[in-house]
Amino acid sequence: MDEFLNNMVFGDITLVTGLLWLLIATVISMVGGAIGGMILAGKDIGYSFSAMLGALFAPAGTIPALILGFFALNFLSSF
Amino acid sequence: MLELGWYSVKLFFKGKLIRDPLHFLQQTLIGITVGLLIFVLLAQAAIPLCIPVTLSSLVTGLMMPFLLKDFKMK
Repeated sequence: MDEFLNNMVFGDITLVTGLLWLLIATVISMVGGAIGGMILAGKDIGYSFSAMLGALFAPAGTIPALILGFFALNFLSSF
Repeated sequence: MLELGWYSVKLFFKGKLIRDPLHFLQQTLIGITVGLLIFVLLAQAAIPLCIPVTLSSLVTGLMMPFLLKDFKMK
């Protein structure tokens, strides 16, 4: 367990830690998207609606970015 | 509010929410590229992996509504 947490925080990307990070990143990006949506359209369409739409779209950009990023990091660290 | 979200998701998969899929794809690609750059560059620094993941997710998430602000809802 200690070793697993160490990997999780200090960067050996395995399938398990990668998936966990992806889950965490999705939640964080939804928070970011909600904030962005509120800043952008809160005044026009209401804060709850804009936060929801923002949270809906945010993972669409974040999940592919993270997956590609993990591939890139694995590729880089193999040198 | 949850019903509304579910309804939007259903419309999205029917291809009825977004009038211009190509434009949507292009804006999403911009978001992905920026998120990827932030993530990979930060991950090169000697800091725990949790920081690049958190930062790049937050920034990408913040950007998406701005990138997609002119999408057309039917």
